[in-house]
Amino acid sequence: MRILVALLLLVLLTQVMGDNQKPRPPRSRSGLIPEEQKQQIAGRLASGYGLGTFKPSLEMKENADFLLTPALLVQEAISNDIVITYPTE
Amino acid sequence: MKNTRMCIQVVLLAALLAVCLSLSFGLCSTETDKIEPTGTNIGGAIQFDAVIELNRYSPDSLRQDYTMMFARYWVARNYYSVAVVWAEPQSTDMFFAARTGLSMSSNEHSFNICHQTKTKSDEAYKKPLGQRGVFCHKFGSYPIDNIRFVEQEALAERIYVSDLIGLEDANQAAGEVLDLSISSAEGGDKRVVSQLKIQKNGERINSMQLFNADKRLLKDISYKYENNGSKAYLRWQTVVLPERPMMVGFKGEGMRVTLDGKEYQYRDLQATHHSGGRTCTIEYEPVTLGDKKVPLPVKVTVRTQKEGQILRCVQMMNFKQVELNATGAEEAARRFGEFNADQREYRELRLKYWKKDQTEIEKKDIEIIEQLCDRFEKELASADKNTGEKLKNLNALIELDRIIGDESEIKRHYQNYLSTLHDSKLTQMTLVGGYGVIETSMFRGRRSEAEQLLGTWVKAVLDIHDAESILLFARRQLAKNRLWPTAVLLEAFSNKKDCPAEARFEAQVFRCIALGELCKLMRSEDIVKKGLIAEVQAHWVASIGKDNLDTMLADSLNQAMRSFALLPKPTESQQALKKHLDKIVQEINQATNKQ
Repeated sequence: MRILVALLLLVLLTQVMGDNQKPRPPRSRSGLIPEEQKQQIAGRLASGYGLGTFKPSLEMKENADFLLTPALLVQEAISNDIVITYPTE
Repeated sequence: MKNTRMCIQVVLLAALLAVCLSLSFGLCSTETDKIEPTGTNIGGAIQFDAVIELNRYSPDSLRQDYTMMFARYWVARNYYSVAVVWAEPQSTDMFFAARTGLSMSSNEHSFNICHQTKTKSDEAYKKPLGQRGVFCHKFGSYPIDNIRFVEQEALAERIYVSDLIGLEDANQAAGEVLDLSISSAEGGDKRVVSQLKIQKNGERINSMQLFNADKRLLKDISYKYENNGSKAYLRWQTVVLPERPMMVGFKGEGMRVTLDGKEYQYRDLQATHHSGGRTCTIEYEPVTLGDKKVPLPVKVTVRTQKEGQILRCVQMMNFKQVELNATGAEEAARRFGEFNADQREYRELRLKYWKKDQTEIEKKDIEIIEQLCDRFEKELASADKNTGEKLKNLNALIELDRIIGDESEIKRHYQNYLSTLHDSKLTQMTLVGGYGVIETSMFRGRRSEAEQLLGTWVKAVLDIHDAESILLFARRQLAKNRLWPTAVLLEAFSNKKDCPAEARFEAQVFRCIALGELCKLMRSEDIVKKGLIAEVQAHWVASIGKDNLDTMLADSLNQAMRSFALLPKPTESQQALKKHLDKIVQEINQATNKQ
């Protein structure tokens, strides 16, 4: 039931967000959603539900990795064979 | 004959002069024609201190976590070590992958991590380290040993002077962009940068864009130089980091989506790193090291690209050259980061008497605590301690005072803690960390102790002449349901003689919101279900009494209404705040009618 509601919402969203300007994938004669489109929808659902749990850890990664930024920046500044760029955390 | 000899001598002299001139010009030109910005070769290691600020915003940007790390670094061209001596706040507000007792070092052969608060304290990773792989961490976890991958990822994006040979002589019209391919000769096949787009002025690069093999922009850098006498040096570097795709993965079978009766399984998903992009600003200043003046980075600020919110910031200071090899630097970091014998003893005592009453303390432990306090006090007085070390000692002193229940000493050390933060210009930590100490007393049910600390904290906060920061902090505290201390702070703040009318009105409204929520909490039948913070606050305000709290709210509402009436031309946000007041009045009326 939930998936059906989510599916309905997604379809509505794509209509509202202007996705309807793009050429639509051909629908099968039986009126069922083509497999390719189903995979896309399932992928979007997985991303929508799944990615949120990783977000706080990705933030933590940026902050934790930043601990090495001063060391790598100073290393650039005391080496004359390196062009100074920013060591991305 | 004489003339001919003279001619030969003149010609020889002229030739000699020409050789000398060309040689000296050649040497100079190698020096001046070198492409910039590059570093200045320094032998040995550089030691410096750093204060790192980390912000974490929730989607509505109101709930914010603010963490501060105090670290020391030892950096040479081919090795470095880092030790985190202390972190603040020591409360639930801290958001970081590790607390204190952490040191890390990297040399040509390995990356070593020592984390004292973990059971598995020492880990050495041999180089090459391998790939980071799919990112599998969720819900804010990020084991600190993952930090080892940062260095090789940074090296893969490094640009060498040898990549830009001949660039200084390349003719470039104003505004023209030079396209350069990067070979994998230098740095090996792990390099991810394959193309550069450069704008330069003579031998100075003004901007540089780095792309990977898929033509995806990795960094967009612009440089600003400043003249220092006859020589120009790098003063600012601004780096835009676009969003990066990053694979994240589920452990086990992954995620399943069932659609139209068919099951789709996902073990990996494509996430976005640096979501929304980042803008990093790096400030350089010339620092004297031996007989050289070297431009070194002194401040880095990383913001969200769109909103410009500060995500993190580091200030670097106290640079000095030290005679330490890789092993020496590692040892120095370990010693600096670890808890010494006194710290370890204090931590054991804290664990032993956690949430215990002072009457339960063994006599021998009281003596040990007094001796420890003496030693920590002496250490605190030593002039060479940096802010992080001082805060570490003060935290130990406050905790030891707590064990023996010496409220006057807690207050004295807490005052010292707040003035240390104030003297180091760590204003925001006076708010966040200062509150954290009070909350710890609240969690332990020490109401009288918490009352005393609250009074001290409010006085210290009123010395911060930054109404905007105080009000923003108050809003964030309300979002975390920290109601009573916020109400007390806002009352004192709005009663300040020099408080501007707009800030006074805002503070009064926030106080009404805090008191209104507290009244609701007191009316609630099941406070325990509302969480620990609600529970401890309910206990605290229980002594005030529900009726007194209602009177406080009514007075506060009257004050806020009067302040609103005095505003010459209320802004939209002030009108929105007034609506909040009306809503609180409505809720009070509804509650009264129910009764």
